[in-house]
Amino acid sequence: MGDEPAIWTRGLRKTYRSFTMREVVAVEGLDLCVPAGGVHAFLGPNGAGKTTTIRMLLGLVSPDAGEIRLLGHPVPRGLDAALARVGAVVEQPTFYPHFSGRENLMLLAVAAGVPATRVDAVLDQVGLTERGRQRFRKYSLGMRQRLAIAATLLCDPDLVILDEPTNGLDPAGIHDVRELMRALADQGRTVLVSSHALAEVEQVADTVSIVVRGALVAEGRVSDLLGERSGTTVRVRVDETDDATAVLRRTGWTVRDDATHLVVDGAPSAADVNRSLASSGIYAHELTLVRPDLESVFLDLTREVAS
Amino acid sequence: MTRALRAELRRIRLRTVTWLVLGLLLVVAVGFVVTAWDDARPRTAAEVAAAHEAYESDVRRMDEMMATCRVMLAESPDSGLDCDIEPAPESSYLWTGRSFDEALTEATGGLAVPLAVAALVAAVSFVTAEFGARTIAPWLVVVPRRGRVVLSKTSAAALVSVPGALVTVLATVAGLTALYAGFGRPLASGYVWTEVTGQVGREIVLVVLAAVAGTGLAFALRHATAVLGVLVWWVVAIEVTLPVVLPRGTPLTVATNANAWLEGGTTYFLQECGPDPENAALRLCQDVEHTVSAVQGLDVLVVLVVLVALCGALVFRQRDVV
Repeated sequence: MGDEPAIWTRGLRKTYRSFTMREVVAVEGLDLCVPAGGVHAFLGPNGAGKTTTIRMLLGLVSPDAGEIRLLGHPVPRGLDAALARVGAVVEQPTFYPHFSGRENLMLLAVAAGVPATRVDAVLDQVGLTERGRQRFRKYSLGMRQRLAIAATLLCDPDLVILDEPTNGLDPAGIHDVRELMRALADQGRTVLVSSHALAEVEQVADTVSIVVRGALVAEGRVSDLLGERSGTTVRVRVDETDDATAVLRRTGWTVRDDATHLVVDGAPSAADVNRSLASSGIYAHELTLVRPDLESVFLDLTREVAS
Repeated sequence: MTRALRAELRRIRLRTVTWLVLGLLLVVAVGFVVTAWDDARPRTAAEVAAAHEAYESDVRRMDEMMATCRVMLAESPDSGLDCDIEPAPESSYLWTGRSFDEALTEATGGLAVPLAVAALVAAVSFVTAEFGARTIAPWLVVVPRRGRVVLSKTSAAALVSVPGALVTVLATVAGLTALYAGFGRPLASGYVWTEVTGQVGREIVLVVLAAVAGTGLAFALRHATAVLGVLVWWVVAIEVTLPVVLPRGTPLTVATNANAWLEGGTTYFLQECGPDPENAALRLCQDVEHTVSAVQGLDVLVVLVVLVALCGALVFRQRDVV
């Protein structure tokens, strides 16, 4: 796919009007760049504009302003060519409730010009072969998610967009989806996953975009994002908490008591903390270097924007 | 045939509503056959005897009257009395019911409204169900061009309405034929078949228009209840109230134009007033008959349906799918 990003937006903006004609900004000048290949996490708190952005990418919602390129094609002008190579689940999986899972996929397959054998293949891929003839309305939430993922794979897409794909899945199902996303990325496809399950996303995502209030606040490789925020934090458990707090603060570090541990920020390393305490005759029962994870980065960023 | 249209035809075939509507139409067809039962069955011995008795009674009474008449005529030959009146033939005393021709033309004509309503309901349900189940979003990912979506759904609804109508008509015709043949009654003349074929052809056109209007309304309003509300408003405001409040608006109603198309023309009356030629101080009002031709009726219906379809397509194209 070359160096062309899989998804590129510039200055994307969308506002909705309420019944009282009050304007609600859903997306505000969003500049998004999802590189081709790999798993890209699209994160943001509820109401951040993730689903609206995905809808704009798919041509379901018209932006008020801004540009979109999907797999190199301008949207909405090149939507036909772009979506022929895209599989997407938007928000909840929605299918005809009175038709079987297999029949729902067959309808999509007929419309997309995909052979019936492909339907059986994707059902097998998501573990729904045995339940394929059951009516969709009788599916559990987990089965619905699996069917939606199967639908995205029908056209053998270059770009897969999954909006909260692990909602309602059991741990085994979550693991399967994670493996599937990884496998798709390893085949050279691009997977854009919007999710609240940050720990899950962190395990599989190569790159990430974080949006808050409709605007991008961070973007890049997950490892880079975690590295940027890796100021050392050390958790210490000691008996003499007051003395230890005083000793550590004298060195200029920030110390707070979280009831079971002292949390020390600003020390160059855990060894420095240990050395400082020991030199004052205080010995730690436990000393832990706290590594930032995607969740803490996400929470920090969203708090920063909120404040 | 486009892929989208093939998928839509497959979806219609799988829908419970489609078969439910067809089932209801077949019930209507059976209803027409059942109501013709009394016309088709042979008269019972009791009915024949009662008719004969009535005839004999009338003959006796007539003979007495004629005898009296002849006495009066003899007394006054210039009275001009006619004393040779014959009683009605005995066959007219036995009610034989409608002929096959009459039953057939009345039944096929009576199917027009049920067929059109069924096509409208099925088309509205076909599109609004998709918005209701929110399956339109994943559908638009596979078929991104909204114009193509409108065209494929509208074409599918229209195409399916034709065999649905034909099956209903054939069931009615087959039922009536079996009924009359079973009772040994004579069947239709060639002339009636020509008339019935023309009638059914006009009904098929109406059914297709109803299906197109149904999808247009559904695309514009998205909810079956909203469509129902608009239809009720139309019936009350335009079909019922307009001809009363503004009689000149009568040729704009669907009922008038549909009737004109189906019946090969229709008439309506407008009260027109002018100065009385015999007394200039007075105004003379009279009901003047106006004609709506079949072609004029079809033209108005087509224009209305095209407007509804365009409105639906435009709204669907412009509105976000959330």
